[in-house]
Amino acid sequence: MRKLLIFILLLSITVSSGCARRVRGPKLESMGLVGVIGFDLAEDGRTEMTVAMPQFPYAFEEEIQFFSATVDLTHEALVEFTKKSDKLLKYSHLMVVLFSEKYAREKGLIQPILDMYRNCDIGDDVYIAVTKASAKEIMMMDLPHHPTLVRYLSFLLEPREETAFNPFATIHDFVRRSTSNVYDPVVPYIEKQKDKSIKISKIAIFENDKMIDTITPEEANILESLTNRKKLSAIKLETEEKDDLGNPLYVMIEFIQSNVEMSSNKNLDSPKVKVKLNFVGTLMGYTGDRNLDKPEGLLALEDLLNKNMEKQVFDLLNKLKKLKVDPIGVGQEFRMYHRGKWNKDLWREAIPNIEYNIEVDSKFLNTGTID
Amino acid sequence: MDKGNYQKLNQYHVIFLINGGIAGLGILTLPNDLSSMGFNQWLVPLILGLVANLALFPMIKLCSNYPKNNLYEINEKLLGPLLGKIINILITGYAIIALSRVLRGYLTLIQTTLLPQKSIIGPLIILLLLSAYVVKGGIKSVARFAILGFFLTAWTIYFSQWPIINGDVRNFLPLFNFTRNDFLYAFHRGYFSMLGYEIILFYFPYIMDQKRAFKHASIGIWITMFLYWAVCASSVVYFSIWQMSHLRYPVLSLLKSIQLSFVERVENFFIALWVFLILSTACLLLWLAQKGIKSILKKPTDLSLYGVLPIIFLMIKGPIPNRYEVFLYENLTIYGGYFLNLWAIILLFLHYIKQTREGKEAA
Repeated sequence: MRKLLIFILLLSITVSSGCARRVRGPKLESMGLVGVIGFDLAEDGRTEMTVAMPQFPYAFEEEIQFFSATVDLTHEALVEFTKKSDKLLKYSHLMVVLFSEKYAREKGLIQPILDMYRNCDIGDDVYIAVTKASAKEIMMMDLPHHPTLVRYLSFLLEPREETAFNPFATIHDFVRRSTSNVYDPVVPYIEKQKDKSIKISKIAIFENDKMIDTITPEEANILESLTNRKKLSAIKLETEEKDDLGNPLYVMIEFIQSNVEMSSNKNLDSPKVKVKLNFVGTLMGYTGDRNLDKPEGLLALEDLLNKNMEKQVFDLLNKLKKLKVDPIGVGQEFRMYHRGKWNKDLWREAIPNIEYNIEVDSKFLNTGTID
Repeated sequence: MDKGNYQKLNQYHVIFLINGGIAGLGILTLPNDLSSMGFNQWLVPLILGLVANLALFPMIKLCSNYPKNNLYEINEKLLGPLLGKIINILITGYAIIALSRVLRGYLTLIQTTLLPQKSIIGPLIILLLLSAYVVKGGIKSVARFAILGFFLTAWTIYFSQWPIINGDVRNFLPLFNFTRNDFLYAFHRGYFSMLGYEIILFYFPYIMDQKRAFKHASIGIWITMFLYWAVCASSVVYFSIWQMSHLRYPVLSLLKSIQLSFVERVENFFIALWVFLILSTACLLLWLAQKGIKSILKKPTDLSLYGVLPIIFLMIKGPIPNRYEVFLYENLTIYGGYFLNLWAIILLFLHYIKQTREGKEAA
């Protein structure tokens, strides 16, 4: 008898649930999944946010829908856009966030990035980039030879061996570096090109969360090797030697694996850092006429390379010293041996006084498949 | 299989009961709780484990003197019926509050991350009914569920390779760079993560091999402390100090670093998997609460189990003002834990006093 009663109870619950009035969750087609967000500085100092939403299904002429609004708070934009759109906007598929250079230099990125960090919908591995023109211009540009904007930007900024000079800054990286008591953030810098494509033309250097300067991709390659990235992109070096016509000789090395060892004298008052950079690569191009069949030829070239690289590393480190920033994390070598409270200002005061002792050791594995 | 057999817990049950009782809600916020120590916080789980191990010793000693009685009965024997009953009511109250804290903490996390628009009533009812179902089978069923929960969630440790690779190992140095106040504050906040082993006072009569119970319980404690240490070490490597002190659920952010080629955002899956750890803690505490009510009322009734459930539901969803909630959940549970640890030592003294008095009377 009891079993029968329980059965009738369960049956009535199951059947009567259809009569319940409930708010239906949204289907995938009725969700507007934002792929790219752009931040620009509006004239009155407020933030102008632009979002790019790919359309499903492709029944519309334009494949991507854009919304733009001037807001005070980051999440205010979601409310504004929902008023205009027939879809429910969600940030869960966000892939890239762009900031205009003006915004990065004047306003600083920490506030919008922390707003996005706080949101559980947005993942930690969203890529960040700084744009030369306004972010809106880059997002709305016509891309006839490339895939759609969201896919293009996310593949462009994704970790690839050829773009190893790119620091691949994600939201987590940026928050960690700008709140860290040693590091400063480094973010890729993209520019619109005349041939209707987007190029990572430089790397932006930040102090805490405001942009202060840029470095070239070649310098950025060295920067990444100093932060102990193992695989670097190809290096083209101009040697001091000249050929008969007076043109400098070039060397091209690819498939580089690098290793850096840094040690400090543990003294903040007169800091000295010894940097030893090892790298192993394949020689892919050489415009000189040294005979590279014999090992002496390769060794001579390696020596030339070492001197050249040492000068480049020294120039880069000097530049960073003048800017009083530490994107490499040299401060860790001092923080590790410092007793008591450590803060970033302590380190920033010490950066201009660092004396670097640089040693580069390069090795050519081979010269490709021919001599 | 062992119906009618009073002693039913073998060594694996003991190990994983200890583990299931300790690992639960605390691990989700552990790096945040210990953030006053900064980059040296990986030391704290090791010290917590040591303290837990030391505190376990008087408990086992007390229980070995009364091998067939759980702590409720020992209270009544040593303190007399009235005072013993009052202490038992206090302990049952502690069990109910701790249970509410665990469930409420987890459901708040679920509501923040997975189900922002839904209310927590549905999941709460399901969790309560599930706990009641497991507890109905007795302590052995709770132990088996704890074993299941451990093996279903422990393999998550494999994913700690992502934070470690993407982090900076140099964060570990300098060692021992903290003040005494930092350490005490972190210890107090981390203590809740360590509570759960003192429940051995209550299921000791059911253990088969009581002579080796201390060894097995210690193994359980150190397994849990190793997992806690791994979580703290990964977060030291992966985060900056600011992130550790401001992120409310650091383990969630650690899991966000996982990148697999076939699926994105696996952290939602793992947060849902965490329910096994929460349930094993909740089942153990529910078992404790219903045992307490049975010993107070002295009448074996089903109501002792089903009566606790509405109380917990009302505590979580009910209209308790905010500042009382903070006092109730954050402070009372920790003070209850301190009390139970010290109580074992006090009762041990009372036991020796009683023994010498009986010895004198007999002589």
